[in-house]
Amino acid sequence: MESQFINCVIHDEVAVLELDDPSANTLTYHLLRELEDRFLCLEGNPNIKGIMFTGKGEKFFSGGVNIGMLLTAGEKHNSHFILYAAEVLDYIQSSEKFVVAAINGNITGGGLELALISDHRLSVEGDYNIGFPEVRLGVIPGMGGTQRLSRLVGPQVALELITKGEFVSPKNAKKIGLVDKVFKQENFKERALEYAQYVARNVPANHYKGYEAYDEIAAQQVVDGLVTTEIFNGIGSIKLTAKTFDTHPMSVLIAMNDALLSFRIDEDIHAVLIDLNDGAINGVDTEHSLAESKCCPLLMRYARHVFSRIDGYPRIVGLYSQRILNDLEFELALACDYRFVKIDDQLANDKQTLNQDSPSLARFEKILPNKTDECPLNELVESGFYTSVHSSDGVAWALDWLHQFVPPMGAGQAIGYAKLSITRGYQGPLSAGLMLERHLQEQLFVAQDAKEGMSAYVEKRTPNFCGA
Amino acid sequence: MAIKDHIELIVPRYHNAIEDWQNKNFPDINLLKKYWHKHFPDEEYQLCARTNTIKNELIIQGKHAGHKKFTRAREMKGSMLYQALRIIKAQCSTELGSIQQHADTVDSSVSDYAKFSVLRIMAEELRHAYQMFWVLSHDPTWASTGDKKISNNIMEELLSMGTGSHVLDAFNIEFTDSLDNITFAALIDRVGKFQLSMQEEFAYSPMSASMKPMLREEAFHLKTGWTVLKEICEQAALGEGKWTLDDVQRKINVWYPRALEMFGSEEGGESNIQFCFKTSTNKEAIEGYINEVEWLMSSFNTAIHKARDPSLSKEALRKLSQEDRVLTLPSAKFLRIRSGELIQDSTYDLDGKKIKLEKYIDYLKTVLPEKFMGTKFFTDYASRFNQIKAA
Repeated sequence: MESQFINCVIHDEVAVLELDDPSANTLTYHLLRELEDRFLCLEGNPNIKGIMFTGKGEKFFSGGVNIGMLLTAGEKHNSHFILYAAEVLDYIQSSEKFVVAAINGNITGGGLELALISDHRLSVEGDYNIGFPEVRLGVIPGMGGTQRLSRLVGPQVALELITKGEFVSPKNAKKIGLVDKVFKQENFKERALEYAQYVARNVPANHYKGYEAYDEIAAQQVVDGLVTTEIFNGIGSIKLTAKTFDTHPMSVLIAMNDALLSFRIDEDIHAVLIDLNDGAINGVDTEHSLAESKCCPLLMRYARHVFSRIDGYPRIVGLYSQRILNDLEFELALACDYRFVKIDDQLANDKQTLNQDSPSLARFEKILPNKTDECPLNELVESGFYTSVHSSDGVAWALDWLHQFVPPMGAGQAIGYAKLSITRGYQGPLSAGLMLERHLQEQLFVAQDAKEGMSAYVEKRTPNFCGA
Repeated sequence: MAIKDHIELIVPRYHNAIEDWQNKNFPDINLLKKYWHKHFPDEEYQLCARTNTIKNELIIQGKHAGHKKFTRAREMKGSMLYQALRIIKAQCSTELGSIQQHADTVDSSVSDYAKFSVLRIMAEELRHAYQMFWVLSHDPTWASTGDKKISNNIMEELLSMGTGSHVLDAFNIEFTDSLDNITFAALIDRVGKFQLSMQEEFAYSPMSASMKPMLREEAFHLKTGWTVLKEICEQAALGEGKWTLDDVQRKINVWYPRALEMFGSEEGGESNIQFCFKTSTNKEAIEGYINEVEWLMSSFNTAIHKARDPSLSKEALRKLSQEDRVLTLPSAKFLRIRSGELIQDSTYDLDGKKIKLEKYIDYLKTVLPEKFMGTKFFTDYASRFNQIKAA
């Protein structure tokens, strides 16, 4: 893997990931993409037990999100960037590898949010800044900072640190519990590595059993040609083209993830269709793929990470197929908002395996009540899980159907937010869901589409939405 | 043999937008075009982008040293890409900002030649802005950041900027008379020369290839600033002309600190070296600039003494100019108005001595031009003092 912003050196069982983007190692979209890819490689390496983050040079661990990028890029890009950054941090935090942040210098904003997802925070002594200055810029730590800090140091200390936007020294950071240890300046990174290696030695040998080595696949990034993408009048189409077992499902997932991300930061795309007509995530052999994913927790973990991205995607995502799905694909279908299937008489009675242990099934508990492990496709259509396609060109039919969500017909942002409010709000307690809903509504009321929609209603005309 | 510039026009949408901007902010371009050949018979003017050969095909320093210079924006990623955009935006903002400043007072120039020289400077600054629009608009891969409109947004923003909203402070100060036009050309355009020279090695080749033609034109701006200001000093030394030497000194006191600020913080510039956008750190560039401006001051002082006593020998003139410095540069600490710095920490006099906060504005009245004290730039600055006093 070509390294531009992340230097990776492996020392026995610990991999050191050094942020390297002069001069403050700030977080940009490109850096986080590399970080996510790099982390995925390391996760698939069973010999690696721990991962240590640090910053290149002596001045900065990381100065947080690159403000120059935020000022230069458009609003939509920025909101997608923050969403993406938060997803990467969530993914790293949920890893079973232990993660250490070796804080070698100034660490602010998003940089500190990266350290907060680590299991251990070690800092070098010295006169530098640790803190969240976001409120001084008119924003808040938005990649989990308010939540993770308050859980680490307590809500009162977190409130004072974040609302004042003030910095603390390493010594005070240790005092309040923000960092675990403060090391002397001399050979700091070596000392931090020794500490990480000490922790690694205590990880049981079989801790990562079942994690197959996908580092080679991820490292090669053989993803060209596994999906093709096109844009049809505001709808992004992702067509899977892999057909044989020669293609590893991880590679297909990586390729699909790339396509999803590039669509997400494209403000002209208002809906997405994933087309399984000509390809599959892992061949079409359901049993084989089920066996593979069960013996490989990393594959399932990464797949759910990608599918969760669809779940939290602020646009409608549809899935098109004309066959029984394998287990990974069915997980994908559960994450999509609408599912289209083209069935003939023979296919109608074929049975789709339902992964009863899938966490995403909860979304369909009212649609698929009392379903057993297997269910004929025609029943899934009757229940409303699938929308049946009656057209010789099913993909074109599905694309046409999705156009209702695309401006000028659909208020793209409102539709995306409604989806987020439901899918994300449903996952937590009612109070959190209500708060999310209010927050999204507040944003929508100042949007252009809200003004247009209400004006059109009063003027008794068809609204002409712009998606903003 | 000199290699001819390669000439290009930008897409009609932005070409027309710049022409509209020109009609609104620089209507005298038509007057200049009419009399261009009378004043500048050996030169041609065309609103276009010009590129020429680059010094080195390879990136000479920093993180990508030895790599071929990037021809496409998508090859730059992360902080590098956004920093490149910031530099291009700032460069373009200075060009457009200076035209808006010059336009207010160019009519009251000391001579016809001075007036047409300033108009030529304005026209060439407009071409430089056009050049930056070319850098941003000819390469569709700026959109590789994911924000397809990133370069378009910058161009729209640049076209909407006015005095007060430009990137650098020096371009947010209204000119109050034509002495500003000339002092600005002498001191601020010289910073431009430094920046352009440093950017000759810019890692993104469309930018580095733009520098040679821009530097060639910038030389005329420096010459105008130097020769016309020297002429004004000579007249003032004899008690003639529109201005006194005190007027000139006060203008220097306004513009020299702004020039220093244009280089950025003395501690900064490391990342520009790492990305090979510039060849010197801010501190190195500031030192080079101060050396040149000290030479400039020395030439003015010599001209003043020579005007007062034309019979002085060369040696006597040199000695006198060193002993009796009529015009001087303020301390580098004087009137530095940098964002992020506490205003109470910036109260230094011309010699670099600290002055009490409550006395500073009164002190400034004794060393700055009276009309400058009435500009929005200065009144905003002064109001920050009042806020602190009130607090």
